[in-house]
Amino acid sequence: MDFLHMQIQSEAARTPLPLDVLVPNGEHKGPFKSVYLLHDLAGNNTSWMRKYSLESYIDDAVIIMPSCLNSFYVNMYYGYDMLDYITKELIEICEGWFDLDDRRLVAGIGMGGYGAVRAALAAPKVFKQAISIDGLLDPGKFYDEPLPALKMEDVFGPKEYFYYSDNCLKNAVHGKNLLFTSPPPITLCGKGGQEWQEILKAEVVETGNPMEVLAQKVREL
Amino acid sequence: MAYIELNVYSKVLNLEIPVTVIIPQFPKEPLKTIWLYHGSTGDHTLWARYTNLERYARERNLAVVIPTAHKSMFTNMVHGQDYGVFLGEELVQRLREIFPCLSKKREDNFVGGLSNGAYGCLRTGLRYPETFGAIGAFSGGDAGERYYTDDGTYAARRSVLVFGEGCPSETEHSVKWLARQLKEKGGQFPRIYHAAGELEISGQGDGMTEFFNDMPCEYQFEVFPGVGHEWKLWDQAVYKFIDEFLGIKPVTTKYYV
Repeated sequence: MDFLHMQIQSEAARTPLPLDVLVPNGEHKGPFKSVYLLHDLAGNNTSWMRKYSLESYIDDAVIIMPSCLNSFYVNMYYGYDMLDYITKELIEICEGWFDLDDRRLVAGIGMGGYGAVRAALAAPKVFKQAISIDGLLDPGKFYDEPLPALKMEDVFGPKEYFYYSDNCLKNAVHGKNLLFTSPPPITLCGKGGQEWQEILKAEVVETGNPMEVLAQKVREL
Repeated sequence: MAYIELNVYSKVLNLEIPVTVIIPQFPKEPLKTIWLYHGSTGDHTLWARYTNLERYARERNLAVVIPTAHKSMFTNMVHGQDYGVFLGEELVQRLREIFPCLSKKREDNFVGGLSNGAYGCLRTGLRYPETFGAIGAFSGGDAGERYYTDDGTYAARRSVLVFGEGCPSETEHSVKWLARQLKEKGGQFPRIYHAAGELEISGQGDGMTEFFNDMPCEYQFEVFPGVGHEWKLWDQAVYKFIDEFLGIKPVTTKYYV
């Protein structure tokens, strides 16, 4: 694949953000599927490329790796509108440039796993599949177990507000965007999937290599 | 506007080549594109680092593609790889595959360069006149007119690697040869803008003016006063190429600060 490292200007987040993209090489012809990969806490656009040999699993889809800081991919209470960035602007930018169709998959690890599910529930018509790997699906617990250098109130607002908002996934599955549509298939890999299986009507894969699950879902897209 | 560093695999060179791409984020129509070449000691980063190019492009919704061509002089090396084919064919095709928003029209594609890249863009433009509608050559001429021999110095050896021993004036390395071929075939010439600094050796245009005045093409030569073989000149020259010679005027004055 051809590797693109770029600096783009986000109107939604109102800041320049780095973005890494892999485009299938010349032997594969578009239009391509798109795979949005969301990084974990303390990560950035480079995390997926550094930790996983992505190209040995996926070679025929455009892989898009944004950097969203420690935002949990939500429209922050005090901060960046990252959910708008991920579900709207980033897609508009990539589809304006690259040869993509509407076969979009969003996947993430840890905080990114939460982000993938949150994005799929917020934009159920945009994503055809969401995958969460070791997802931090209940960020509410971090009000009581503080994360380093991160104020939960800045991301999600006061604790009570969080539990009433769609950022609490239990609310989001009945959220306003979902009144007339159903969420795309959600797959939960690795730790912490069981308790969310029923709520999210998700498929749970507890063992095995999550990269193979990801590759399989990309193939099925 | 996005600033992209792209690593494109070239089958022709069997090598990953870094390329800088400056591109509007929400293209509303096929993008006019400038393909821009570096100098003898340059790479794909210098144009963006030493000029205001991104601002000129941003104001005009232009895409700019700046490849690295190493020490190839942007031609098909006698002792080396076919960088000429890579730059004139494969790179253009590959970039248009990755970014379908780039215009494929001849009149929307321009090739430019400085110093060695000025020779390079004249060569590419005249070798692929069906792809490029205009050439902007800054501070350079026809490297295919000189006589090359390996006298043991680094510079001479490097030239021999590219052109072989002797004078390549009757080969596809020669800008004038390519122009004569194009004239014979009755092909359409790209418009040519040729700039030089008053204080540089090639400040008189390398005899290109007389040559191109006899060719069926639009050729404009301009000397910039008070500047030599330097970025101060190339920043002015690329601006003038875009704004006046190509006549692409600003459509926005919105910047990020």
